[in-house]
Amino acid sequence: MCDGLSMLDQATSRSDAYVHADGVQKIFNPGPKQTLAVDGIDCRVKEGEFVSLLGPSGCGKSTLLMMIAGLETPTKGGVFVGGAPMQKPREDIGLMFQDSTLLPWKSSIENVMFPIRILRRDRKEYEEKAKELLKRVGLDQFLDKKPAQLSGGMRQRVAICRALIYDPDVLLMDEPFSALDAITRDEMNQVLMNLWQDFKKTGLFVTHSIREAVFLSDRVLVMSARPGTIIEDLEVPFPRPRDFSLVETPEFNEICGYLRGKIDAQH
Amino acid sequence: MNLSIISQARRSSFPTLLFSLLPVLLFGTVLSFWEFVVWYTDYPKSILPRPSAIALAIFDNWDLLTSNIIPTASVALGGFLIATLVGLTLSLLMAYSTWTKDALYPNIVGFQIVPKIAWAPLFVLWLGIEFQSRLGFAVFISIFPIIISMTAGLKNTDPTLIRLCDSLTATKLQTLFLVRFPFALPYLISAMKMSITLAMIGVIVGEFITSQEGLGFLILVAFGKLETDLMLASVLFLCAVGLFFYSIIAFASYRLEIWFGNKK
Repeated sequence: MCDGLSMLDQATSRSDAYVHADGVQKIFNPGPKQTLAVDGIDCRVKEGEFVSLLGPSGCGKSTLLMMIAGLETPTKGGVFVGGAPMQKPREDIGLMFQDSTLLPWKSSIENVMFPIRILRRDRKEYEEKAKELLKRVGLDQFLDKKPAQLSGGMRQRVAICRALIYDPDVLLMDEPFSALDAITRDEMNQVLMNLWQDFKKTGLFVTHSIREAVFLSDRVLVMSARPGTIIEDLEVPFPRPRDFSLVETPEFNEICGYLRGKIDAQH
Repeated sequence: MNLSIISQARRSSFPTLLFSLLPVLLFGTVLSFWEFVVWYTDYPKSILPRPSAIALAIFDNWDLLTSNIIPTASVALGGFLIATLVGLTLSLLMAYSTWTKDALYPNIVGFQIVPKIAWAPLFVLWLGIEFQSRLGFAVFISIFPIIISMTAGLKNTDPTLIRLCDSLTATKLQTLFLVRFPFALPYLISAMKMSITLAMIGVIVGEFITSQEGLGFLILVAFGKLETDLMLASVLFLCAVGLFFYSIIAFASYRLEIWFGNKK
């Protein structure tokens, strides 16, 4: 009886997971000099949930993210998004990198429209949406500016819009703000927080900033150093929408302190 | 605030003018020195004519010189354009298909090492004494920088950007033409600067061997008659043609910088 219930419980939680990395292992350069990047990762993200992957540099967070994006194949285990196994990149998944990776010869609006061009969708249909998105992140004065004329924070704003334009269900973000200065970074966290309020995507966010992870996420997963495994799975209880006054509260700092302890305990 | 005013003042006005005049001044000084020494030592004109004698030779042979620009310049330009087009196509093909690259690229690099001038007589043998042999040789000599530089450029795209394209389910062809090719354009331009110079060399070498026209031919004719002033005048005309082509490419390079947003 008890067993049956827990099995049922497991089954529902499985179907709950929109993004599911199931027992994932990744070995680079198999052979005598192989690197075990991540091992035995089990990670679930519910639909509409924002989850951060927190861990030290080189712990395989990005590798995990790339496997979920379908850009790397797991050595063992499988990745499922929306119930279907990930074997190659799909257009229902959006990606953001540490670098904005904008095309230098294209203006902001053209950069945002780039996925539409790749996906061969109707340009007219999305042009208004692109303008709308750029306006939403405060770049309405910069539609025709090229990346060289924008600041680092502005470039990442364009990159967010580019990831949202084709309306993917899942947004995967690989340390998108870690190359920015502290003030711009806080600003970008707020921008992302506000966007999330409207767009309700399923999000997976890789970072090594505890504060950023706690501020943005519904749940924080802590990864150990290589080979990366998940050593902590913590719900962040604060209601949304959140603003930056939250980071001053003792509850917020308590959670940060707890996570810091988890990360430090490994050294 | 004050500092920026100072540095701006320093950048504009007099010193800038001086700096841009500096090469002209040096050139003038060397010419004057040359003129003076040859005049003073009464050096034989047939070995080293005075600059003023060269100027006179240009004046006297103006029609001869100008009529010989076209045969040289047109073949060089044609060779350069064919080399650019074919080189570009080949490097795009190699960027698209690893298989082609594996087969072709080592051979191209190997060929590149061979002293290409040595092939010139063979081109005459194969393509005849008309302009075709010179055109063929100009293509042959100027195509290598295009292929090698373009291949490097196409390989040099930011790997994260390639990942972005992959994540957007871009086809290989889309990534190649929408991202990798534009990123490689600066490589193409700098290769073209090299290539046009080589095409000129190719045509002149060809003219030395067989031609009945062109500035290279004129140099040989003047050499036969020991008209050194006419030889140097022809060389000057060749310089002018080379400079003209080069400046067109330099302008393209400038436009490209603007397109990339590096200059306003």
